[in-house]
Amino acid sequence: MSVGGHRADPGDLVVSGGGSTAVAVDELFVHAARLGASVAVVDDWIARARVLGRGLELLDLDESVVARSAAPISSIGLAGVCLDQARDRASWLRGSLLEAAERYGATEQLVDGLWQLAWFVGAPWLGFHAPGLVAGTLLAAGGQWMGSALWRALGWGPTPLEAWLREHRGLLSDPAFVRLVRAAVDHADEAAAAAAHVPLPSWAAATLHAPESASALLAAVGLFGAAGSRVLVEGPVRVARVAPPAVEAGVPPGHPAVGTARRPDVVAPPTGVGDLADRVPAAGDGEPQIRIERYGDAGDPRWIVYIGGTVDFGLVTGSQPADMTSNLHGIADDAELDARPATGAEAGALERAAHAAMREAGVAPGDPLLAVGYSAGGIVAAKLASDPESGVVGAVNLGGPVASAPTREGVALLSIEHEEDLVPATGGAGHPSPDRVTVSRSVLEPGRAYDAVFPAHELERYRQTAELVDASEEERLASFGSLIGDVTGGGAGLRSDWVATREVSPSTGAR
Amino acid sequence: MDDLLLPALTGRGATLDDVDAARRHLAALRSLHAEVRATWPSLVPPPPGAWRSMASEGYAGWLDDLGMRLSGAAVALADAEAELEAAIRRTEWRLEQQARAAAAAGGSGATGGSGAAGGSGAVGGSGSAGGSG
Repeated sequence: MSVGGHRADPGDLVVSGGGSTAVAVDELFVHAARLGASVAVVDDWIARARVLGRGLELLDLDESVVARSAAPISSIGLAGVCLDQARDRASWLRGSLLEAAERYGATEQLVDGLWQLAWFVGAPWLGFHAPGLVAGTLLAAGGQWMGSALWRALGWGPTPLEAWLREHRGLLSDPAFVRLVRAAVDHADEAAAAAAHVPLPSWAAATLHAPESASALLAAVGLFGAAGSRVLVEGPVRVARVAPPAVEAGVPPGHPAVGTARRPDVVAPPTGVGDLADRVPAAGDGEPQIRIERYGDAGDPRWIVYIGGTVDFGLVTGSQPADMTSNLHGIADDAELDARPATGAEAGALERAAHAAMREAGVAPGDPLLAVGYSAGGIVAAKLASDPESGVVGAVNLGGPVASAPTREGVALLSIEHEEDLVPATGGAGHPSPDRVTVSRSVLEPGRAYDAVFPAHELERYRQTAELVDASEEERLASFGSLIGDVTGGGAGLRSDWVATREVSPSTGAR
Repeated sequence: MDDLLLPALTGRGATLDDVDAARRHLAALRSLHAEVRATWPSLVPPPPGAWRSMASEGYAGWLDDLGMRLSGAAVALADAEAELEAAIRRTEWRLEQQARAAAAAGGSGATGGSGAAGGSGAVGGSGSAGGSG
């Protein structure tokens, strides 16, 4: 990737957003900030040198000494010239760096705009002129789904689709493919409308993006839900607190962890985004999806809520609320034109589970809260951050599709998205917001084969990126670190873990 | 002797007040020099590590140039400090010489005031004997 006239190496953080159109590796912004600070310092020195020079000139020393004292005046003048030049150099370099970042940001916007334009034109054409292709694709997908179910039932090992995905996993992590998907999801509505030969006014085409596409899809399947289908149909959730894992024995006497050995619910405060990422629950059947930590005393509680990622990737709604049904509802919640209310659909199960767990844990409306989520949990964290009734002061998204999520003024949303990760791209191109800072990073080595289908989406890789965020001196990233300190106050916290379960009626026959 | 006579003849010369003022300037100059010398390296970011290209190599060159300007300023301030110290020493020596000359002249019945013997008189000054101190 070329950033600001420079090539960002794999592993570099690329920072964008936060009210700026500039996009660049974090080091570039750090340099610009340092040079800006240098200009201010040198300006002060210049002023002091001028005062000294003028003062010596005005000193009424005797003539012979004046002749000789011209030497210090001259040297101070030379120092002033050097400082003037240094100030000009620093100022020019800073401006050049920011200009380069702005140029790169503009180029990124142009490229995104061209993708959007291509899909804006291409999606209706595809839908209108090739409805058979669209229908055929849907039928093929349905057939594939049924065939895969039969394949699994017969115990024949990986289905053809799984085998294909494994064979072409490199494509799924190709940044160009990720960009293609990011643009395509914003235009699914146009293709569907054209396929149905429904004219879509231009204002609607401009308004309908990924959330509206998800909403339309869910509204459609919701109609089948009324007929008993459990595909992508939501249901009520409940949460239960579970004991945190026991602290390992054998802590040496005097070790700071001694106190926590007896109280596994007492935790040290997170010191950075890396710590936050480390505490996000890992996905697993029966494992807690939500973790809540309380800091401060009972009279001044401050909270951190961690929400894990997708556990169940199936489309048939089951008892696991961290599933694709919840994800799609989570994205559709951001739709300005939400088609779901007509079908009586609800918010995503994971989001409702998070609210329920927070209530059970004692979070009151308006309590200061930091929301942290991975993948599907990132969607929920972004939603909590945008809720005007919540006291959320900031949110961290690790690989969730939140580009289209609304933000709330003054509530920082730090979104970490890997360049090769398809999942954040499914949120579409989104919209800029001064409150959203996006950190992207390339995490895969070109040409290397990975075992996972979506290696760039793995939580462990996001944890590594989060640690790099902590190491960055970039102003916007550093200020987020300060925010964490504000929430914890530097003291120990009390932890609770929550397992959420979706209630599925046995009559539906769903899992 | 011209150094001593000329001010006396023209009525111009440095006083101990001027020396005090020069010392104050020296203190301020030392403070500025110390700050510049200690701080300037931190004002120059290290060469870029995360991004490398022709442009970043040029940028690294400009950072070197920035460092040279700042270090040049530190050197010039060091020179100024040394030169001002020398100028003050010369002025003090001259005041001392002129005070002795004035005292000698007074001892032989000549007028001209006590000059620097009074602690603040102008070097060769005509009206500042026993002055402000």
